[in-house]
Amino acid sequence: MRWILIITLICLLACKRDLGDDLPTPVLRLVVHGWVTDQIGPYTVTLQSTGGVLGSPQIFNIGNAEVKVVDNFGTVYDFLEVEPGIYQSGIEFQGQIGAHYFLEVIIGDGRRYRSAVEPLLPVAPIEAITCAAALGANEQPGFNLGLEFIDPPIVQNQYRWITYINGEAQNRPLQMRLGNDKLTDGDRQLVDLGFYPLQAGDRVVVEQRSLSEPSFDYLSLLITQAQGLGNTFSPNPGLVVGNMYNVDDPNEVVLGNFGASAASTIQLIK
Amino acid sequence: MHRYLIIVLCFLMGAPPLFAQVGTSLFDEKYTINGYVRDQENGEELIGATLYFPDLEAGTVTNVYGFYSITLPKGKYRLIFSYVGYQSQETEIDLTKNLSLNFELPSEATMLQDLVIQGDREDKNIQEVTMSRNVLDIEQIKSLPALFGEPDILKIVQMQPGVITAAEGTSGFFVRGGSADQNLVLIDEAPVYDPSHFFGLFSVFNADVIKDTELYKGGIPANFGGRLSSILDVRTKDGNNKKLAGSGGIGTLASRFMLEGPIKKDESSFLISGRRSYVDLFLIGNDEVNNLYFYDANAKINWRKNNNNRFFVAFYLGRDVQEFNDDGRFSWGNFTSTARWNHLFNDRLFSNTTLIFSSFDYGLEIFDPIEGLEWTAGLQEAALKQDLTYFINPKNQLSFGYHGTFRRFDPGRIKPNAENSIFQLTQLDKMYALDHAFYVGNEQQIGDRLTLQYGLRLSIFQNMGPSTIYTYADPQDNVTIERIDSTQYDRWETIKTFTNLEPRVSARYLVNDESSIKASYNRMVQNIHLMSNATVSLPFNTWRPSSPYLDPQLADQVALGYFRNFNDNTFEFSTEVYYKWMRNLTDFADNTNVFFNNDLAVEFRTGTSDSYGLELFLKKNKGALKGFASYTWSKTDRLVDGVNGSLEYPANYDRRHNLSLVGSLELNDKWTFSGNFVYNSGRPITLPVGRYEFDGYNLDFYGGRNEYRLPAIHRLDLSATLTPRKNVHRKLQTSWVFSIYNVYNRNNPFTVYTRTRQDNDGNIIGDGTEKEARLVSLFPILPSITYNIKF
Repeated sequence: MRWILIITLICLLACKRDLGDDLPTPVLRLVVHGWVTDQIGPYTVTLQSTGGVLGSPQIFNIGNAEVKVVDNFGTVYDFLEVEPGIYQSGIEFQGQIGAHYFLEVIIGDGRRYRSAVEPLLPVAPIEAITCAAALGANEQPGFNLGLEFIDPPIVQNQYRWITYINGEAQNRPLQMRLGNDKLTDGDRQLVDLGFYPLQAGDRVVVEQRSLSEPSFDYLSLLITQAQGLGNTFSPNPGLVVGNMYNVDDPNEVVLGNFGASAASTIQLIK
Repeated sequence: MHRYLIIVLCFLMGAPPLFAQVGTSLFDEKYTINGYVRDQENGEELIGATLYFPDLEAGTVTNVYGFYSITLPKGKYRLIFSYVGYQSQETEIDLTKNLSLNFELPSEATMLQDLVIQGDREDKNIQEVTMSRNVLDIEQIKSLPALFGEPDILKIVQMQPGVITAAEGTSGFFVRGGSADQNLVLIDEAPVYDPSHFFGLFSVFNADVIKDTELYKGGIPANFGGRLSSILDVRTKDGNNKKLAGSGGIGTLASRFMLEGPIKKDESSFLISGRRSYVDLFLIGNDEVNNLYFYDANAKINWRKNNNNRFFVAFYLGRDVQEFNDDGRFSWGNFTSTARWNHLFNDRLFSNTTLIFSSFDYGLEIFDPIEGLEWTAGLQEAALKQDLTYFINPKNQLSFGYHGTFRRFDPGRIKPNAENSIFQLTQLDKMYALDHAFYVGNEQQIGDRLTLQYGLRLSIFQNMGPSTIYTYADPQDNVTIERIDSTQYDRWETIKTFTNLEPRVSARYLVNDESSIKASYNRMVQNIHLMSNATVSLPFNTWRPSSPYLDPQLADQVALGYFRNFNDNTFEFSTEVYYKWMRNLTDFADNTNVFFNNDLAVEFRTGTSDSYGLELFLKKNKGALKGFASYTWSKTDRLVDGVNGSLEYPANYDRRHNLSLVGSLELNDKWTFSGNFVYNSGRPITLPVGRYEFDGYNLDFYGGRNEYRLPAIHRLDLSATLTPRKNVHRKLQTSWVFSIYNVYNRNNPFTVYTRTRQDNDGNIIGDGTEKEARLVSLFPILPSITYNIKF
């Protein structure tokens, strides 16, 4: 949206300086991220604190917590701490399409947190991955990646697409891709995954995940905020709250989200 | 509601017999004197000139058209007529029949030494019932230091008590806790929807053509309506009907001219003016920006057919254009036209009939083979106003009338302007509305000390077709928007009607000749809503009518004031306290998409706002040193369900302390020095309060809405006006204004943002995870020179 630059004309006269440390005092919150899929595990739940705004964020990991996922049959799957703040499921746990899950966390001081119940919805297979030569910013040579699939008709579907280049997830805000079939239910879908400066031999894997509607809403807000703030057209910034809550104190703000997805993948070797 | 309607109808229907009685039996031995009070030099009608009959201790003032009418018992009386800045005159009236008398006052600047100046008191602020109103002195505004040397009435409006600025250097203003869209800005009675040039840095008003400017913040008379918080009533000069005259100025940023003169002497006149900025000339040769300018023009024709019929036609046209290299073009502007007929039905019934057209539009063009588009949006309105004033007797002045307005809202249209553009022709749904207002009000003097002004305004607002109204699965869900149904309305078909009654009451109690106490209550209704989440004035805003998803905004305000003059009216002092509570205010849900959104209905939320404050005002009217000091303590909170966790939060423009000091020292007839100092507490802003990781990337997280406050603004501006000594044989008068804006070069905060820590060359410091906060200031110390001419 280069026309936004027009607005920057007003900055012709502007001068800028560091504000130093004169910013709000950092507020510490618990951040929980966890995701279960129908792929083979282990699955990971991370527990962290929020960090400061300025300088290094100084986010610290929260260890010694009790973490478990419970399904709609009452089966409990324990997660063990493998690194400070990182908890993994055992190999016996693999998500099942159609099942429902929730996450429960008890941290060291006894506070108990729980997520809303998340359904693990099916996802359509990816039919094709597309790769077209293109020029990026500053005439950088590369490729526009895309994928095609057929959206299942009648049912409402939400998707997230994650692109991995040589095994590394491309998760910068402008690289995040979400979509739904609200206007295109049952149609062949063409998804633009963005520009990547690929080299010969690079391995590209694209994962298509199903999302529940609340998780789609959560990620939409997160991405909007991460991509959009800082210009004249920005939405009002606000707190993005997921589906975690303190069982004993619902007013406590808990960040992060627990979700469940089926996943289909496709691979491309350049 | 029916009860209210019956009361209004009874009042209106009962009024004519009442008038008949007043005109025949009760006042058989009384006669009416009426006419106009004008400037002797140029024939301009004087608004608010005082006519005082000392033998009767009775008087009146001219209305906004310079007209007066007063009915008195038969007899001989002395009459003193006066106006601030003019030499008062005294004459004797033998009232044995109805009289029509026009008076002309010489200005103090043209008076002869051997004439005696009347020493009557200029205590209008004590005597009048109106409170919470500021009248701006346009001549003083011209001599004050101004940003880039461009005199700007809105900058002076911002210094009045109860008025808060949006950001330093911008023309947006907020009155007693109201948002910017709650100000009705009028030029010759036509509304101006975006009263600013250059993204709010300058107002659209050319100081050379302004005759009178009044700001109503409370106690608003029943003839005004349509906005919750204020009325800024700007009236332009009618044109000199005595001789050809003109003025102009060459400034640092822009130049202006004004030419006025008689078409037929003493009967008809014209006025034309123009203004053009030339920043674009300085930018020639710059590779990045090659065009940036604004222009505006005013024109007016005025014809006095006779004392009973006067006609005016006035136009305003203003536009800003920004061309960004070869990539795009952005422009916005206003056009207004007013046709007015003043008619005297009889000695006491004055009529003003006005036809108004007002248009605001903006457009954006991107020149690109892939992303090329043309985006246009706007709002047009056409209005008929019929205002009548019946001067019943010296103790009662009745006003009544009807205002009808048709509005067409065009929220946006995108059209591809390149063959391979990715954009498709898209038109957001247009909206239409018909707005009726009936009002009646009376100003009544009860005894020697008490005066009341009371009235009612009936607002009937119809949201009309053609339109499609969508039904949403969840109107509060602005993330997953789902339309489940739609209803089609035909042209002129009423979608929804909103009826509201607006009572207005003001009272003045004269404590003694030098002081009075005033109180007021008013309810205001606003049926058009500005959809903007920006704090500063931006032209990308979308207006919407009250509709099934948007109820009218309502405000109730009470105010109490004490007014006192000192030293034979050399000093005016006033203090007011107010409390205002507003309902159905719009605000946006977090993470709202405001631009080019056909489902805005689900994006906004409505809530309440409470505002209260204390205002102090001291003004020095006489002597070599003139000026004013104003201080406001105020607080404005909002509570909007679904915003900020449904908790109360400060409004974007909530500033606790606001101080303005303005002064002009006329050292001699050659040099005048002026200065102003302003201090404003910092405004609230929403900033991140921490960061957290998501998939290996650090995201900001935000606390409460407007939880943080920017540092305070303070600034000193100075100017010196040099008027070379007059050569009495020379018609052309010249002056130089030397200004320094922000004398001590303070970096006043405009906004704050955070970014990845980097050095001055843009190289990232560290591993890219460190962030820094940057404070943006707009204006450093800025000297300017303006050369003015007048003939």
